[in-house]
Amino acid sequence: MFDRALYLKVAEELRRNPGQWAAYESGGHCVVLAGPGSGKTKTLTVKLAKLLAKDIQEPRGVACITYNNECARELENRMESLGVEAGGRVFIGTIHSFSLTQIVLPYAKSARLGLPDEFCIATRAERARALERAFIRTIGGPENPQDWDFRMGNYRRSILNRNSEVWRTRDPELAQLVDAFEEELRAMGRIDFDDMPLLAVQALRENEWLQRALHAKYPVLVVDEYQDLGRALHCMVMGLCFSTGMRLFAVGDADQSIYGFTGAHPELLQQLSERDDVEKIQLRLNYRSGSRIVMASSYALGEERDYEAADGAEKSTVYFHPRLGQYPQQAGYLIGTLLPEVQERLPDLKLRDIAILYPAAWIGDAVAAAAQGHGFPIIRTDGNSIYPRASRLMRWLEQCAQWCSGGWQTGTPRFTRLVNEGRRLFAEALLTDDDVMAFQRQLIAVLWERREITLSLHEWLEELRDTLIDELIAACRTLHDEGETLAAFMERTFDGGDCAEMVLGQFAGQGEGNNCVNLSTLHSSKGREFSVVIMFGMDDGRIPRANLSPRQLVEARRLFYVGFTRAKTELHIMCSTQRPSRFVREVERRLETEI
Amino acid sequence: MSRIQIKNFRNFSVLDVCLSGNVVVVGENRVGKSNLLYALRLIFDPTLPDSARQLSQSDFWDGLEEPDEEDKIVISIEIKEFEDDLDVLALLTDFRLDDDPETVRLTYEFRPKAGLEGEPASDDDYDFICYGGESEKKRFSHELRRRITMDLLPALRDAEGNLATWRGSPLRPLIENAFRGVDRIDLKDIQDAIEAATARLGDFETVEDLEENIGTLFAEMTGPKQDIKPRLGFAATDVTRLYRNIRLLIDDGRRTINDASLGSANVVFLTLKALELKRLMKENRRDHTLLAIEEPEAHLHPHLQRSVYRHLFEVIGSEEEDSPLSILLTTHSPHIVSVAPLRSILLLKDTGEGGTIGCSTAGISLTVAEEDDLSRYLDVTRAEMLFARGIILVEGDAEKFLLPVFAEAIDRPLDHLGITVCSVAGTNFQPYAKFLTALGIPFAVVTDWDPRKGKKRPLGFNRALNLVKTIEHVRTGSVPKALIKKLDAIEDYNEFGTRCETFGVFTNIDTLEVDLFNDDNFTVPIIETLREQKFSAERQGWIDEWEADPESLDVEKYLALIEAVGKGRFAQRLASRVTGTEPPDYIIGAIGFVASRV
Repeated sequence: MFDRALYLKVAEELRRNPGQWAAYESGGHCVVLAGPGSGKTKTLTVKLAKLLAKDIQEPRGVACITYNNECARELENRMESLGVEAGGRVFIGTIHSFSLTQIVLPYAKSARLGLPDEFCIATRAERARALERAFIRTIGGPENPQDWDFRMGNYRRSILNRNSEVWRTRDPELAQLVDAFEEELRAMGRIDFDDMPLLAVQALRENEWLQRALHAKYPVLVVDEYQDLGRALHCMVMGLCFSTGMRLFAVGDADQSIYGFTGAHPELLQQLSERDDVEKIQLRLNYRSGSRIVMASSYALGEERDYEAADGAEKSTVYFHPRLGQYPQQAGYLIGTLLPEVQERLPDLKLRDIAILYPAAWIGDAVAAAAQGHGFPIIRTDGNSIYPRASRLMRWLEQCAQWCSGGWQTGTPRFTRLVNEGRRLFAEALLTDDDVMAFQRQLIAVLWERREITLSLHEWLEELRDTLIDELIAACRTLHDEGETLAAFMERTFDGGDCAEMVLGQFAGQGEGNNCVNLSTLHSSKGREFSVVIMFGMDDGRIPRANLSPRQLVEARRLFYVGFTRAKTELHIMCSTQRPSRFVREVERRLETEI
Repeated sequence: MSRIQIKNFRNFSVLDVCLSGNVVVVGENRVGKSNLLYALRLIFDPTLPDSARQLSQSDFWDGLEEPDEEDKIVISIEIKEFEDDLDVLALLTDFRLDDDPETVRLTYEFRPKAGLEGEPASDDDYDFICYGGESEKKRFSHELRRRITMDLLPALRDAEGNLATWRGSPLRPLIENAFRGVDRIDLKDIQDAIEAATARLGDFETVEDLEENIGTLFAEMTGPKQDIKPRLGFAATDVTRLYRNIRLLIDDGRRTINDASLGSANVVFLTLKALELKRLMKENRRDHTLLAIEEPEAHLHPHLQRSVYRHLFEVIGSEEEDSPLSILLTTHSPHIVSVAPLRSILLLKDTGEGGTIGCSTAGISLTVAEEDDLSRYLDVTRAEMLFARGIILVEGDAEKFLLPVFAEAIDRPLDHLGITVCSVAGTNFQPYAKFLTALGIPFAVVTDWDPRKGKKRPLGFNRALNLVKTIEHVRTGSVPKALIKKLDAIEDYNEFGTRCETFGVFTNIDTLEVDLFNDDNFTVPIIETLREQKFSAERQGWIDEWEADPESLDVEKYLALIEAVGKGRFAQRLASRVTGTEPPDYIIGAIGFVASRV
């Protein structure tokens, strides 16, 4: 049981916003269309707390599916502050971890999925090998097999029913390649990331009892960021919620759908909300951005949405900075002139409240280099960061590093938190209380001896890996990929690597909560918010890229819109004078006529 | 529950039995009934601490001299039909079997610790795990036991004592719950009434004197600071504790439960327990209860046993209504077994060397009519079959009266051997043969050959053939086609009879009465028995003729006479005349067959 007073107090705050309150009170299937900054996470978490306190009795629970691990962590933290602990009756995680831990792992055999015994998750190298073998068997030729990966993934994710006509006929070559690829993986005793939701959908489709079992465990399914979760999830939702009897509470915003290549389509959310048996709720007040940014955002999207800034929103401004020269020069201006100006204007602003967003990771390299030159601390969350931000293992190691870099004195993070997160990360290996106790003892022993900011990062990681992590990863079928990520990063921290000089304190600084300017692609900025957003490289050919299909063009525009809606008080648009993005020109023109 | 498997635990080397819902465990003393319950507690009982779940080396099967690193104690329970209640489904769904998603399994294992070097030497070298399905990674723990719970009412429970104290009473949670909704202001009236009644006590001079004496003496002994002011009254009147004074009364409130008989107290205890379990499940504090009662017959008159447990099986723990209650009894009482659902019986037997084994009725394939027959039979015969070490199945009362006498005559007294003669009142032996074979109770069938006129095969031929078929089918699990074909082809009836005897089916030449008459030992006693009756002169004449020339027996007339007396009555009268007389061979064979197997 948890302290109900906490969530009831927050629930009272929802009463002022009719949309939020209606969502809170809803009793049947409910789809909340939540505009940017409309308080959707707050609504969602309070709703979750209410579901657990009132609607759902033990031993049944709630499954909450989110877009990525970071969203899941964020939700968990928020739930904790409402007095609800995740675990047990509450599942919070991605569609992949839901598929894997709730369906594929427990039921692989009884649902007759035909998977190899004791299968593991393929590492990137194993995947590449399987693709290569499959390519040679089916297509052949001089091409690099890995160039087919993207198309293959796309095909796999968009046509779910392998028995269908479409699967065989739309692109027979790709269909063959996928089949061969999966065969190769299975022969290696592996499944890959994309397999997880696909296998889950298959298991559900072929075993009615399994649908009923999930309904029993989770009478309510909560989905966050519905628009980006793809066809597999939609397929599960249609089955579980509209034929088995689970209740659906979905939140999303079709305008922020930017992951078409993973099989996501904004129409799916739209269709869902228009069903007769679904209550559709629109959240239109924006608590994040000032009214000027709200207006600019609607021009950026190019569609009328009836959003408005909430009363008391901060005053906001939109700036345009067309610049001459290459990206390195433009980045120099950004870091050397623009940033100091911002800091002067907003003296209380913390660096972590600033984000620099760009359309592709390589463009970010120029900004990162400039920032380094001017001594601005940065944190990168795009594909060119020193390790993938989505790696749960690396995030946990960051926290451990923070603890070793003085965190042990102040309790940031608390040691119990390290243990709890480690416990969830290595859940497969830590089965009993005794296992957890042993883990805790080993962890404190290895960290306590190495709590020194200036320690070589490589040594620190090596020690942790040898005494603790290697063994745990070996026991966890789902973590082999993470092990590879760690190995790749350690390679870079070793002699001759580009991070060989890195010390523990610097690594700790990579974590959240440090005072760094955020560097991110537009894609990775999704779901976050910053006081000041600087959109960099908003040029024709970058956003939108050249030669896009009409569908991709609309999605590029939504991506542009997502960047706008991250900002609270200041939004800066940087573009090359010679070739500004057509989106930028349109917004600029319409803002001018407005005045 | 659909199956229990136990390996290497106390009495059990290997036990593997099918179950079907409620379970009634029958077996002799020391056969391991309590150990079976304990095995289930290891899985389901939340009041059992983990320190008790950590067994010791002495808990290994007695036949195992030194458990080595391969040996472990394994207890697993399989459950079916768990999908109707969504709460239960949510708890159990992860534990399905790999090749059978309709079944879940819960397992307890006590085994040498991993990575032990050499053989386990002490209790410390062992640990236990509880897991579901077929993967040790799917652990279950207290969370599950809290919601799917085993409640054990032990054999030596002190129902009266428990009812008398507030703490241990099963009445307490019920009363507390009932008063939870009562407004304290409403209780004020009761408080006033009790105070008034107490005040009236003071009207009696002698009572007032007593109270004063107590008060004064106490105060003198303790001094004023320690005076607790003792008073006499009907009940403490503190509103919050008012309900603690409530007692269960009997005989329209004239007496307290303490004055009830032990038997009544036990029934009351059971009633309250059942109500409490219902409440827990209704308030969603629990999803399913496995109520285990050890020796429920304690102190109960046979008729009360039947009435109470019939209700328990048919209403409270009925399998038809998805009851969230399963019942598990261990009993010696034929009266309780006789009202138990036919499919619930689990018979435990000590095989000596091989430990205790079990046989159950859950898996026997019976037609609806056969099942009805058997249930009724067990009911009216008080389940005597289940308490015998061996059974001789006979057609009617005649055999029933005569066989014990015959057995004495050949010095194989049935009671000493624990053999019971059961009459099936006819020739429908099939369901009984299935039932007894499945339960592993040694038995023989004694049946008439019943020859027919003309070329038709005797009725006894097909009867015996079908019995052999059934017995072998149930015993081996498959239809013994080859065997039956071979038997069917035997032309010589004597040879056929001899072959059937090896399967426990014993036949004669005609019918019991005719065979006996044709047996020199019995001709005279039969004539004498017939003469006892007051037959008409004509009939007397027949008897005279047969006596003069036994060869001249007219079977039809002879049987008509016996029919007139009544077969059973005739057998009874005959029995007292044939003490010590050696019976016909097929009877000797049947008695010997069972006697050698008990």
